[in-house]
Amino acid sequence: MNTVHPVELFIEVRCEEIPARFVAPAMEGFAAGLGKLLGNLLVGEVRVFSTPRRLAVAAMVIRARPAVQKVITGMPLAQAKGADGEWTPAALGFARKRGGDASALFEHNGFAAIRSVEGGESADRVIAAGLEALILGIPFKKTMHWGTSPARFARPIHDVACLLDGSLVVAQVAGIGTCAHSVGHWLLSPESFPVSSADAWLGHLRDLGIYADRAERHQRVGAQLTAAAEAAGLRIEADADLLDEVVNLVESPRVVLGHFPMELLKLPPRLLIESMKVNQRYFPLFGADGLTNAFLVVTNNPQGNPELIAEGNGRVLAARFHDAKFFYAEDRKRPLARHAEKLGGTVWIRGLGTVAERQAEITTAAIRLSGTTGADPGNLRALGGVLKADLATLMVGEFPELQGHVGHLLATAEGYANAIAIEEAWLPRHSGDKLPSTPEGLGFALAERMTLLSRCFTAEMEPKGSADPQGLRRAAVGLVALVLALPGEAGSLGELYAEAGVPLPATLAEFVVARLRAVLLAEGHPTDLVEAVMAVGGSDIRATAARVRGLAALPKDELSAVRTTFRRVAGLAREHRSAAYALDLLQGHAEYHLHVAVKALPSADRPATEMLDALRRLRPVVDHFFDEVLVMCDDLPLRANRLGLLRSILDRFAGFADFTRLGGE
Amino acid sequence: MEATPRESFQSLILTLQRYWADQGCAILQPYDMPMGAGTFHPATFLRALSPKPWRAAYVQPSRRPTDGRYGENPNRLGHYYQFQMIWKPSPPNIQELYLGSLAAIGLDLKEHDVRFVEDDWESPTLGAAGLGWEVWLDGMEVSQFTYFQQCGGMELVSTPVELTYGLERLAMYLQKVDRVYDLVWVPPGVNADGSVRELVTYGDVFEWNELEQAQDNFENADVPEMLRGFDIWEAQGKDLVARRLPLPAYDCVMMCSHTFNMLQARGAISVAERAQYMKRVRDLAILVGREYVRKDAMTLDERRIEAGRSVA
Repeated sequence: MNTVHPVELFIEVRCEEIPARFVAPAMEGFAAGLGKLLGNLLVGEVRVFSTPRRLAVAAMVIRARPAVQKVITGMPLAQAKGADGEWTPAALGFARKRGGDASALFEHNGFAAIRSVEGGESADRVIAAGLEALILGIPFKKTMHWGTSPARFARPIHDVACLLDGSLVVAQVAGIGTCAHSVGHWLLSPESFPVSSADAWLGHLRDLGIYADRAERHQRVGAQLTAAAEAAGLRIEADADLLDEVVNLVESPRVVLGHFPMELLKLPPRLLIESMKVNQRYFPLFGADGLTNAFLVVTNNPQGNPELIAEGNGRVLAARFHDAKFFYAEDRKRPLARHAEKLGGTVWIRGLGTVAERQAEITTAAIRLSGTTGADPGNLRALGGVLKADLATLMVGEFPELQGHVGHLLATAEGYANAIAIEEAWLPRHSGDKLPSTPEGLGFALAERMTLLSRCFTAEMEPKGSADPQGLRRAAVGLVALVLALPGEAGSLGELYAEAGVPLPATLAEFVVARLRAVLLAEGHPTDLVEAVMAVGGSDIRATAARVRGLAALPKDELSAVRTTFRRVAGLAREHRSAAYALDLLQGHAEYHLHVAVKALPSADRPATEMLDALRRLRPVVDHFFDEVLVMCDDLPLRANRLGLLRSILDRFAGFADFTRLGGE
Repeated sequence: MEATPRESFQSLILTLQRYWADQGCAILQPYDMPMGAGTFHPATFLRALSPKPWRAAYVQPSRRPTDGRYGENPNRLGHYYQFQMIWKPSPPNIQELYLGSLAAIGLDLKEHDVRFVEDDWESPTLGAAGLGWEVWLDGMEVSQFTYFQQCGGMELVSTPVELTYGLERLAMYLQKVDRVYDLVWVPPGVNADGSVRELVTYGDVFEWNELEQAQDNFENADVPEMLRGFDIWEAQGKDLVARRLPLPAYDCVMMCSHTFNMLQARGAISVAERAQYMKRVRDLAILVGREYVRKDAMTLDERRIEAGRSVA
């Protein structure tokens, strides 16, 4: 038997519909688990296949590791054999430890020795023994019991096919014996068929209209969606997350075009779109004038009746939207101010007051910040009175993701100025999201986050570990983005909080600064620049960002030179306490030039751009100084003088960056 | 000739009952107390707690006070019917059996798009949770398919599978009706004695009821009385558990839950209080569940002895 020539291992777990979001991590875990089980029996990569009803892997494996006979030597013969020529107890112990007895011992180059066989485990034994643990060990976000089986899996397992080189590997998984066949679509081709290899299996399924290769299915669904939209003379908006989810919901994709009643287009488009995407996983279709009443649904039945399926899906939307229409009509019977009256009876966060109080607190802070945001205090007062009113509407009760949007629409209908600010108070929703377009929106968004963070930190409700029920991390990231977008120069956290009249606990300031670090790193700036700048304090958000971004924007060569030069300055002078130096000890041109350049440096409190320009102008002067002058000379007064000169550079830039943290390239 | 499930609401019910009876289910009747879902029926909640095998199916009226729309919404009802099937331990071919029931009510599945979409179920008031799906028929949720994992705060030894069909929704699909009140309940025809059979619609049976119940649920129901009622049912439930009477105690759980739902519809419970009330119902359900499990392990004679009755 050729034990080294690799053969194919194929495993398919067939089960009831696995939740779409479970699939990707499960397949990663399945492949990793297989690698771990096989160890060096595995040759090359593990291929993974998945549909909602099947999780499969294929890999090339060596049938068996070649068995190698080894001679293991023990103690010298002097200790291994007694005067009588018999093996000593020590030698017998050595043999026993390796699974032998006196008969296995022999003499080898003056030592007692024993033969041992290593390797030789066969792949089918390893697989048979480890299959159940491998499959039941596939990681899922949630697992369950079924029947009376003690096993847990994402959903009940029906069958497990396990083949090595086309032959069944006999094993049990959750009380089910392995098999050497597969089945097609539960409805269209439920008959079983024998499996010989992964490619034959994949091909057979493809003939049955099942695309078990996820990437291939993804590509097919995408192409079908585009083609169907084009055929209808409309377009879909790219939505990678939705597409990813839908691909994991079907194994035999077929796109069907559906419509909902035209009159329902009068409802807010965002509601229609969210409802189609989130609740139904449809792709809304857009025309020249925006949203249309057409949509695409990805079905799992390529032989279904498209008219019937389209009609059914359209009916579902109509039902859902009729309810929304009812809510919307009910909500519009009363002005927002009336809805707002209910907020006094709604608890915001247990122990932190009502939503009405929360609304007032945000409004007060937003008005106090209007000098910075440029918002109109009158508008803020008017909008602030109904800022959270939509929380009391039926529409938001039913579609919570529309909070803000419904308030905006109702306030617009009532003629509030800049009503969009009610919705913009929620911006940015995630990092990279758009920012408020109106000064009132900016004011509310800023006040919302500043007060939320302040209240929670004051009440010692800061996030612990991964628990962040109030979304404070996201709020802080949003706050950073908003501060960076403020008009004018303002950007210091302390000053903003003082202006808003809101307390800023020290722990909160640190928390926000930590988020600023994350934001800057997420922008792709080199870590050493972020660290060097933030080491000298980052609570002036805007200045910190300007320093990092300014440095990172330098041409590559210049940035590299800046790093080298100023890291050297810091390396030499950081332990030197005094920035004093005497003019009469300056020797030569280079030293004197540096002194003149240092004197011309702006004071440390100047804006980042000015400091950066000064840094760039200073750099060649310092380089020249290093070329010409030996700082660490033997003449100690002279050395101290030169270190003083360098130290004065560090001091001028003390508020700009800690040069010792600059890295290499 | 008898009407098909495509022609009448009652035929849909009769067909589902026949189908599950053929699978060995005991066909039960609705429980005689108000509840929000068929899961509250003792044939599901209490039976799920026991390790003994069990198969049953029944129709259960479900009261959802907050879903009432005065009869003005074509799809929403404050009172509607669920068809409930519970089977324990879950059989390996249950999906197939379920799909068979769809075929039985006249759906040619090859024409449609049937899908199982993840939907984990949780009843915070019953301390119950399960994993499963919503079953979509051409995008419409027609059933809830759940493998119970926990009930009354206890992990279950034998996993029950619960199928819940939304009967009105399914009937609207089968009858191609856009307004629930237009559903045919009894189709026109000829009676056994040759007399004319008149059309009876869902509206004839329930539209008036929807209007008045919504008025009561949203506007009228006496809040202080209901708050007091909740306290009374809760106290009585605890007392009955102490007296080792889990079955009548469970009736109190249902009353607490329904009273809570009514209070919700009246907007009388704030967000913070809401969690508190749910916890009170759950705590009672857990007490009842434990006592039920204890007595479930006893024989009827042992229960009679515990009750101080004579044993034959």
